[in-house]
Amino acid sequence: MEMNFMGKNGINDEYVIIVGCGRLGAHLANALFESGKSVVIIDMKPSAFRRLVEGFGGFALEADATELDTLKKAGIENADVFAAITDDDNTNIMLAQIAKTIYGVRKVIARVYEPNRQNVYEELEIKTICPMTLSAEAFKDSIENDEGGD
Amino acid sequence: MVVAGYRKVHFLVKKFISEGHKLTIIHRDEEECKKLAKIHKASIVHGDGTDPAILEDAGVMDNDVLLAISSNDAENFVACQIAGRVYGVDRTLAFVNEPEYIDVFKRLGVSTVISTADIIYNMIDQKISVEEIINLMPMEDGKIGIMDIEIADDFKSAGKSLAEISLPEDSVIAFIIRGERQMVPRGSTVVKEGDRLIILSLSSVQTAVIEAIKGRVD
Repeated sequence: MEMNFMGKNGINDEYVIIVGCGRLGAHLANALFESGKSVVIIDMKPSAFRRLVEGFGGFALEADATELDTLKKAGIENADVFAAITDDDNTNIMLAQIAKTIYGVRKVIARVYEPNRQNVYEELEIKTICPMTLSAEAFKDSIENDEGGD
Repeated sequence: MVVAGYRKVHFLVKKFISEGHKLTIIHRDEEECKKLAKIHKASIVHGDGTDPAILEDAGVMDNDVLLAISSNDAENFVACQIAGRVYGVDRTLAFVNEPEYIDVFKRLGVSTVISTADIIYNMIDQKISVEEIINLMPMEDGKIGIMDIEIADDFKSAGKSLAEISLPEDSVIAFIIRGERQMVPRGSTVVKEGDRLIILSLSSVQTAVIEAIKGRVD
């Protein structure tokens, strides 16, 4: 089975695979679908897909993404974007490397929890996003720009 | 050599130290670290082997080899990648549960990948009796194996010279260990009860090797 379908607005511009349907993964899947992308989201737990909005027109694949078969089923060979957002940093880094090097996916991003490991991951040529660092920066900006007061 | 892993590593550690390797062990469990420190002449680092700071503490950049032997494939992969690509460790070895990762990890730069499931499967599949095999070490993804077999008195090879034992092709008795002595045998060397034979062979002929040495295969 290989997936290839149109996004909500019929613009089949980018084909996105997201691994992990936690709060961040689901939120991203919803947003990307809204913007017209073709989205496949993978999670092992069927209950995780409840986080997707009603009317989500992407594909929810209930499977273990650490099995290569699952990635193939999700159509990784045709994916333009791969986002690894499971709750385990090591799994995200491993999946990102597989997507990038083995399957040649053009844009690969991994979520990591550990901010102090981020520069090392960058040396592995994986683009990482650490939500903690981003939130801290947002807080810092708000504080320095004297926002949040009256 | 750095060993990063969270399983019981005593056996491996003992073996490596007895062979003269200088060892650092990274282990996540504090109690296990204390035990290891008491028993072995090795440096013990308590922590997560995928954490660059811990790998640095373990002096990974001054080591030739990193063995990642935890039971988690992703963890082993990341430890090897960081050691190899960031700290320039020459040889990295990872255990994997998932046999299809053997090829994937190698393509991503891990020097050696061993699937424990594959090894156990091959042993059972080849109907190798583990009874007299003291040690069995796979090489080259399990295509080549080194066996350490102890000769019992009812073995058909006991009392015979090497020339009289018809081993299959692609196999060789590399060493005989007799008490304190280790020797490279010649055709005239007679195999005795209690000898340990170190046999190097293709894994595909291991059963035939055992048959030639033992006389029957369980």
